[in-house]
Parts: sequence; structure tokens; C-alpha cells
Amino acid sequence: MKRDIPEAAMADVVLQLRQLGISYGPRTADERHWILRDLDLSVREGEFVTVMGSSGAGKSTLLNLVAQTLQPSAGQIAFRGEVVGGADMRPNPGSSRQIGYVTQDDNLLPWRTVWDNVMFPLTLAGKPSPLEVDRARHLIDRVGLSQWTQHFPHQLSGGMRKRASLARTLAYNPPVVLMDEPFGALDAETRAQLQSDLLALWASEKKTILFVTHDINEAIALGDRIIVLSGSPGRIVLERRIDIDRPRDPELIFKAPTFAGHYDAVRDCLRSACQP
Amino acid sequence: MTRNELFLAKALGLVAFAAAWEAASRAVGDYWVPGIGQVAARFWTELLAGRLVADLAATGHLLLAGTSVGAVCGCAIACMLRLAPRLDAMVQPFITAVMSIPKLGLVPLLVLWFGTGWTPKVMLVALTVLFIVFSLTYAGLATVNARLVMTARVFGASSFQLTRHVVIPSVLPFMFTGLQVALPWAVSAALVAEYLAAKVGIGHGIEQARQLSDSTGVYYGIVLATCLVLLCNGVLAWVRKLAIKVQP
Repeated sequence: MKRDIPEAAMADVVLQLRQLGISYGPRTADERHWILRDLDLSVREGEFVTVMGSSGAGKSTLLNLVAQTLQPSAGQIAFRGEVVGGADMRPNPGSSRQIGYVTQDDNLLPWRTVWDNVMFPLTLAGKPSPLEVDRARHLIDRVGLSQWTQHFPHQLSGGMRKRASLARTLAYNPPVVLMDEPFGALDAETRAQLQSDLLALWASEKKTILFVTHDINEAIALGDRIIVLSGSPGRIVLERRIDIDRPRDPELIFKAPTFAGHYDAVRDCLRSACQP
Repeated sequence: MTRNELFLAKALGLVAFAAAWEAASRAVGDYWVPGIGQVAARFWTELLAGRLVADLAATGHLLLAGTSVGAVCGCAIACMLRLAPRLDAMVQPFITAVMSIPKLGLVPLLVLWFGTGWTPKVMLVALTVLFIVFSLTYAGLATVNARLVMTARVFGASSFQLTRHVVIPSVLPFMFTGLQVALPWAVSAALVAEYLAAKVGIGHGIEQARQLSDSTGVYYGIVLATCLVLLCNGVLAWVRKLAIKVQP
């Protein structure tokens, strides 16, 4: 594996995956079919990591493992040094409320208005404090939905639903946010707008983000670091730091001097990954 | 279609129906088909005598009790089977078998078991409703969006919160559809139960009129039962609108 990140500089690691793997099949460890195996990854506080990989490389599976909606077959997941999940622990999604998950679909509750959807995660933990209500209102404002709080999801466009979903996940303030191709199904213009909104939110909210995408441009435009998953079982085959200065303009990211180098490296890796 | 046009169409339909009824009455005679006027007059006399309200209340009461018992049991069984796949696999063939028994055919058995009081009547209505609500709820529980459930879990929802905020709103439309489908069947069951043995109720009125060869009375009973179905259907639709803000 090509690594250009020194291990020693990882003092402020928020999320750490140690030898993480997931497999299925009834037989012994060597005969089972592994989707992901021996995955090591450390994510620093406030880091934006984009995850790429060929189709079926286990990108979404990786996020599901971190969100604890899947049970790992091997390894551990540590949050700020404390083991929260692993092969020998029962997965308990949401137990820590440290992780937000924005999935491919917006997953808004169709019978709740935008406002009630955004408040949903907050109300699960009891009555939201005035501070939390203010924060939710501020976030809805930030994603441009303040005129639409009393509308139901089916009355909104795809982009607006995505924004509502983003506001909902940020509203309960999880330090780590997982995003699974959140802008995949949107038109180019809406996507570019949402990308720059996301970068602005990330900068002001100081979140740690793990972002799955199949778009190299998007991966370079958003991430501090790109990791590429590949193979069967899936492993990290490339880890590359993106040194483009911030703030970035996702639409004009190709003008950055080092863009071409990053693009070629990731593309070559994805291509060679596709040919066994 | 505008509101007025819709109203006009409905009015025209009603007029056509009344004309056909009256024509039939003139053609075949009062005994076979009593005229609308006679049936309407009967409504008036029954109302004055207080029997109309008493019958409606008795049948309505039976309907409400039976439907409630049936709906609650139907939902409970559906939930139980969805939560326990092994139990589901075990009892599913029996449920299919019992479901295929015509419920009205069970009347003699119910009378043998429970006599002719209120219990067998409620049982009959409940059995009729139970299987319809069960089927719809059972099907509805399978359509609960797994992604919504997953998202809610990641947000930290407990099982109770998951049920309250995700499962119930998903299944509610199915339960209401089940009730709406079951309603006419439940009324039929209530009438048959009252033919059997009752001192009051729409079915009792119809049966009594039959014994007296009072065809106007039988028609009056049928129209009254139809009114009851329409009334209950209206109430159900209204409650549905209140309970389900966003129709899927």
C-alpha cells in the first residue's frame, strides 16, 4: 500500500478502525467470503476524508460498519481511543450519538414536515433545549430552507430534501458525519452548489467527515485525504493527501495546479483496481 | 371536474336510481318492490316511534364492539407474527385455512358455544373484521422502509421510539384500508347475527318484517343498514384524514 501520511502525526485521532473486516458465509475464517478485510484507518479530528473505490469494493459497507448498523466479523472500531464496536461486541447504532449518517436517499420521514424532521433526532433524546432549537433553526437557515419548514418532503425538490437531510444530521451535532454518495442523484448545478455549501458548513461546524463518492473531481474538491478501496476482499489500495488550499471552489477545482497529479493518481489506481 | 359538476353528477345518479326504483315498483307491484314513498313514510313512523334510533344504536353498538375487538386482535396477531418468524412459519398455514372458512357459516357453532346472547354476535363481527385487518396489517408491516428504520437507529431511537415514529405511521394507512374494506362485511355479519336472535337492531327489524310478510319493512331495514355503512365509512374516512396527514 502506498502511504504518504506519517503514523506519528495522529495524536488527535477521533475515529480509528483497527484490522476491521466483515465477511459472510458459514465456514471458517479462511473460507468465508470477505467484503472488507484488515482495514486500518485513522481519521483526525476535523478531517474530511473522501472514500473512493470500484463498484462493490465495500464503500457503503465501510460506512455501515462505522455507523454500527452492521456487525464486523473481525477487528475493532475506536472512537477517541475508546473501543465502541468490534467483532466481539453487539452493534448498538446510535448508542453514543457521536455519529451522523447521511445516506444516498434523503431518508426523511414522509409524515413529518421539514422542521419536525430536523428536530426528530433531537427529540429522541428528550426535550430539546432552547439552544438546540436555535441551532436547528440556524442550520435550516444555512441550507436555505427557512421558507420551507412547514412543508412535507414530497413537496420539495430532490436538492431541497438533501439539504433538509443534511440539516437534520448536523442538528444533533455529532462530531463524526458519514456521507454515502449524498449528491449522486442530483443534477450538476445543484451538486456544485451543495458541495460548496457542505464545505462552508464543514469549516464552520468543525465536523469530521467520511464521504463516499464515485466522482474523482468531487473527491479531490472536498477531501483533505482520499482513500481508495479495492479488491475482493476490499482493502485500502491508495491513500493520498490533497494539498489544495482552502477555501476551495468545487466547480473550479480543476484549475488548482496540483489537480492533474491527484486526478491521474486516483484514476490510475481505480483503473488498475478494475483489472485483476 | 369542478365541485358543481361533481355535485350535479351525484344528484343525477340519485335521481336515476329513484326513478328506476319507482318504475320497478309500478311495474311489478307493491308487494315485490314497495314504492319509495312507502319506504320513506316508514322511516318517518319508525323515527316517531323511537325504534329507528334504538335499532341504529343497537346495531351500531354491536358493530363498534365487534370491529374494535377484531381490529385490535388482527393488529396484535400481525405484529406478533412479524416479530417471531418461527412462530409465523408455524401458524401461517392454519391462518390461511381459518381465513378461508366463511365466517357466517360459523353462526350455528357460535350459538352452540355461547348461546344467543351478545357474546356470539360480537364474536361473529370480530371474526369477520379480524382476518381482513390482519391481512392488511401483516402486509403493511413488510413495507416499512428498512432505510428509515436504520436512519432512526443511527439517530439513537429506542425500539419504542422506532415503533412510535417509524413503524406505526408506515402501517397506519394499511390498517385504515383494512377497516374500510372490512366495514361492509362487518355490517353484514351484524345483521345476520341479529336475524338469529335479538330483541332490537336493524337485523331484528328485517327478520320481524319478513315474518309478517311486510316487504316495506324489509326494504326499510335494508336502506337503514346501507345508511349505517355509509355513515361509518364517512366517519372512518374523516378519522383517517385526521390521523394520516400525508397520504402516501
